[in-house]
Amino acid sequence: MPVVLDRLPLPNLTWYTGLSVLLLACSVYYAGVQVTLNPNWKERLLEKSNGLREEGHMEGGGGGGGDKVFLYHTTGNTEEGGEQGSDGYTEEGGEEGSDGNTEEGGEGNGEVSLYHTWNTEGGAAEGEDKLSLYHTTRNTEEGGEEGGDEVSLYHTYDHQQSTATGGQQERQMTPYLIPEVISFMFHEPLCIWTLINMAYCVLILLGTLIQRLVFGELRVSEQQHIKDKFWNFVFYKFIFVFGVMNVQAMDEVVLWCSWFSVLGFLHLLAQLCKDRFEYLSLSATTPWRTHVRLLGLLGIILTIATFCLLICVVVGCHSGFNTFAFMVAECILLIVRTLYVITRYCIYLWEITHEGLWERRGRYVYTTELVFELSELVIDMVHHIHMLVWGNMFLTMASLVICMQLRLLFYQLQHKIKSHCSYLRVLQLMNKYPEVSGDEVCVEERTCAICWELLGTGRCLPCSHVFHASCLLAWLHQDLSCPTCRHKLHKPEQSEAGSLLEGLLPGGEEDNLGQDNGVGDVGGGHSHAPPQGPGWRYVSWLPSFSVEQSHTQLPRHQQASAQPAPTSQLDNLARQVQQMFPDVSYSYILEDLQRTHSPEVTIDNILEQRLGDLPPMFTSQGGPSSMFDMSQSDHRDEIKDEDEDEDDHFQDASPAPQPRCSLSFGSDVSSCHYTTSSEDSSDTESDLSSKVSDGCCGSGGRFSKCPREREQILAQRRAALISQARHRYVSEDKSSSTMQESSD
Amino acid sequence: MAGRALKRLMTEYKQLTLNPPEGIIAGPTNEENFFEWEALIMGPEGTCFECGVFPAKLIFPPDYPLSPPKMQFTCEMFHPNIYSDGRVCISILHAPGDDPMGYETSAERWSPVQSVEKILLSVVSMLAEPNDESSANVDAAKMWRDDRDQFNKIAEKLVRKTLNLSYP
Repeated sequence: MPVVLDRLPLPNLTWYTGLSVLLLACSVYYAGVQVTLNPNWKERLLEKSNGLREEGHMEGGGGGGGDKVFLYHTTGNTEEGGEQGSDGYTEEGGEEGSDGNTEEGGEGNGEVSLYHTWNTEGGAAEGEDKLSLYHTTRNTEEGGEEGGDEVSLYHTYDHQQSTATGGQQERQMTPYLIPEVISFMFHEPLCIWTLINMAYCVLILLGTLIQRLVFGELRVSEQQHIKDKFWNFVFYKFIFVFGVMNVQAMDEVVLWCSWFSVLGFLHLLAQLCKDRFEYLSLSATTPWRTHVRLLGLLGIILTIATFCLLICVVVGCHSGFNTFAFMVAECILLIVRTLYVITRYCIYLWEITHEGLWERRGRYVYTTELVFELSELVIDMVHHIHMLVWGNMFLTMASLVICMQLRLLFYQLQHKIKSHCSYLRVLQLMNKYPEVSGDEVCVEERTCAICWELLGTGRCLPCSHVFHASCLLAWLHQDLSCPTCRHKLHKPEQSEAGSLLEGLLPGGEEDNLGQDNGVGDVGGGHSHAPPQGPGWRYVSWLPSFSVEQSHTQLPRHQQASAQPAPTSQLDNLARQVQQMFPDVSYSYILEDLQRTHSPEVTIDNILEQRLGDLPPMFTSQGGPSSMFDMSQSDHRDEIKDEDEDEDDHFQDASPAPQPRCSLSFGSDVSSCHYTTSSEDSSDTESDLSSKVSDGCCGSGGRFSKCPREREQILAQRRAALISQARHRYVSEDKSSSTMQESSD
Repeated sequence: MAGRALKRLMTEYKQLTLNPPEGIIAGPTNEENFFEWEALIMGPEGTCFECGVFPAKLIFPPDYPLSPPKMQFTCEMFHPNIYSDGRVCISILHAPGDDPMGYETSAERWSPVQSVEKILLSVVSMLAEPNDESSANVDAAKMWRDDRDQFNKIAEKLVRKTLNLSYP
């Protein structure tokens, strides 16, 4: 069944727009005709409404609802399928109408079945004041004969005009009549509905336009979010309007609906902005234009929301505090949400454009997050409580829904506050650790192990590991241990801190992360984990890895840190390095290796000496440049000798303790690059890719500044690895089969 | 949050590109989303997975490195510590708090000093030495214990599959 529903053609936007415009044109035409033909329409309407009111009073709401207005007689299949809710009313109206004019009512409904009938109960009961639209001539004539004030349309009108009121002068349509036409349209129910329909149509068109301009194609998750949000909003506002406010007068419904439509529209846009921002923040290549457009849209939303706030104040002055409070809640929520996204956006932009660490950033981010989220929750909660109390309807479905929502909000609020308390405690705890500057720390720990940035000043934990204060804070909020050595940050002698932690862990941790942190471990003796961390255990089986393991966090120039290498191994390394640089003398390499103890650094040295004066081959080419400034040293090209023998190479690639950069498969890499570049040659980027293949045939390739180039290099390296593996597999297969043969 | 994570990922990517460990390539294949990487892991030598090139997907959380990434092989895998849908079950990928199996100490779990490289190296070592105490794929664990030949055959098949070579 759902499949069938999916395949049903949804109303196409173009068709819908066309239809709406057509309807609007019809109603404008109708209004124009009415106004030109009947200059006294205002008085007539006034009389009619007066008459209605009197009748309403006289009847005292007899028959079921006094001034109730019946809308939308949708007997035929009109296009506005969404508004079929009036069917019930229609039948009712028909029945009561038949009291007064039996034949006419039956025939009219049967034959005409067009569009809408504006019917009032009182009018129908007395056979008067019936305003039936789009009737056939016959029907109208009948109506006319009955002498009621029935108003019909188009060609029948003048006929009726002469019989019913008579003696009116026809006016010419002039521009002066336009305001009158418009005001007529606002008095004529049919016109109002077409106007409302048009307004929604315009809103949808506007939304589509904004989506095209700012967002482009929506991602699936964004669509899903929007859909969820939309239906959620519609649901809660329906509950509010009909459950809480219990609005019955049509104009009030229309007013509330239009108010919430505008706000809902803005809410959806804000949600879309938020989703898109969160997505963009995952990318390193977003062009500035996108950021500007998104921020611009957010600004516009904020402005409109502020304007709405003003409207709330104005309306509130007239209709009392409660209405004001109900209106303003959603408005303020919108403002808070939008501001939150804008603030986060600004912080994000600041973060990625500024080098180095912004020490107090963590504090700012946390504070904004806390303030905005808390205020959002509090406002929402107050709004719901207000609804519950004001509605004074504790035993209805609406109250149930509101209570459920309240419960959810309460838990969220509780969670937030708990998590904030734990944050404060961690902050307190952290202030106990001494602050040290990067210079005081030993060479290996000049960078913060959490963010890998240089350490300006940091906090020193009891285990003498140093981190940035903000990084440490963020981590300790999750887990109270040293990130490097897992030393539990709790000591029996720190009784104060201990009591703090005991309070902190069950509350903050569990609620915050939904995780069960080993609380018992904190109190228990702190067993010291091996200082290498868990990585050690896994890589210890590979001799070549275990050496590099400790270097991962260190910047290049520090990797020379005394790493004892036996002379034989040194020779080995030197030979390997010389294989890569045949024109560099062996003694020079050996000398350098003795100094650096690291083949990588030696290779770097050689490369830098050889290429230091050459201009970097790759600068970002036109494409959206990364926001990250790579240090100049990354632009050097790790040039490789390509005429290395391939067979040699395959022997080399085997278990010899390789330095991390397994330069030996360079030749394979380069050959593969040429094939890919020749495949690409039809591409417009063949230029680029051939350059790339020139440049990155070294071990790991370069790290380009241009994202697209990086992607390309990565793809090439992947292809190279696969082909290398295939080669190796095939050759090993051969060797094993030959071995088998020989053994046979 | 994401800004800091992005910076660190960029640094790691740079390091992995300039000094790649042998048989490991990792990076974001589409930099539109820098938080989704694809890695190629070559099966360690001397094991049944030797020479195979296994593609895997790494998905980083916005608060990386405070939370661990998720790793999932995108090729067919048969290994005691890899779920049948490709998710990798190693303790280094578990957040310090959660302990799905109840056997790890928090010292083995994620911490911000870990890195993509260490994760991938751990996975390589996991390929070499399955840990049958915590089996994610019970069939594979059983076969690994009881019928090593059969296990090796399946691994060989997988290796050929990853290399696009037909099985003899």
